[in-house]
Amino acid sequence: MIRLLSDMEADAYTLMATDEAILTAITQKKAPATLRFYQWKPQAVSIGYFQSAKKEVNKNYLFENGIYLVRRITGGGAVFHDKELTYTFFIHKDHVSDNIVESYKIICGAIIKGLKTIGINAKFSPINDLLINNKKFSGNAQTRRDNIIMQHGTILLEVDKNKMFSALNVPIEKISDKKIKELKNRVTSLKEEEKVCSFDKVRAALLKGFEKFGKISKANLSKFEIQLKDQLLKKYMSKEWTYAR
Amino acid sequence: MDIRKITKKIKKGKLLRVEYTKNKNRIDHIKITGDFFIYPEKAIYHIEQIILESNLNELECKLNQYINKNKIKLIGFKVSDLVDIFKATNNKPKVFNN
Repeated sequence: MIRLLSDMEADAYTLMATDEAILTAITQKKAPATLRFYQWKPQAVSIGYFQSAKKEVNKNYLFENGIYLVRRITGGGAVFHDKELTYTFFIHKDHVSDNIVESYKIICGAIIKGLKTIGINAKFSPINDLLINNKKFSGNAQTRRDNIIMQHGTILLEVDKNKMFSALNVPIEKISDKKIKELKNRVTSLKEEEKVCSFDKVRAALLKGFEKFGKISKANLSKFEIQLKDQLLKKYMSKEWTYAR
Repeated sequence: MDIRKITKKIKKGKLLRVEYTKNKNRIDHIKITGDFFIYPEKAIYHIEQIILESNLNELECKLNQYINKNKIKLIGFKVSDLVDIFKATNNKPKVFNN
């Protein structure tokens, strides 16, 4: 059985604290395999566990535009979160694969299968991306704790590329205008590809895809998870964590 | 004091940023950042410590020993990619920024 949590619309710190609280609960056998969908309000940039906030984001731009900054517990790259659907999937590795690269392929395969039901032909691009027409519209990142996989990822519904590339530090002094244009052209969204892109429609499609891992039933966060999430908020809001590297 | 800042996009892999300082021919500070993955994540601190404590000629061996013994998984780069960065920058000018 996979627990489906109620959709959440929250700030970056709450969202990431919730992910870690759920992961902890599952590793302590206090919660079952879980799937959740959420949106980031206000807009935010998340950086990977190994990234340097100073190097990867334009701190002034974020401050001036009220964009939050949070470090994830997963590796991978910096992401500008705006009009998108984000999912997190928690499952024991025995139901996916011991091999990490393979497990990205399997979980992303479920997303591809789900999107196909609404006419979106996505392709997996190793290590952790999904493409439409050879352009990236989804990035995914995974961590593992005590044999539990936690994979989260984004599906870009719409994208403001100017804002995205202003928030993220592209070393403009080192690359030409032409290369910036090329970089922008490698990113897309469902809207840009002229696909129907409502949150609810994409969410319903992904649910179909994730059914391959088991029956999905609605449930809520436990009291333990809520309390842990509240405790973890401090960590995600702290400069020590955000600027840890 | 030598300051080295290197950014390397690994072919079919991820971006590695290495920043280190050398004092009297020994690395005394290092930070490896980028969009790669390491499982478990905290192994990055051990990897950096091994780099601080090793000579260049024994670095690859020591890193491989640690990684194999502790079943650490590197995704998006290999130990040799990391070691190559140090080999390539070892004899560069004192302040090196690529």
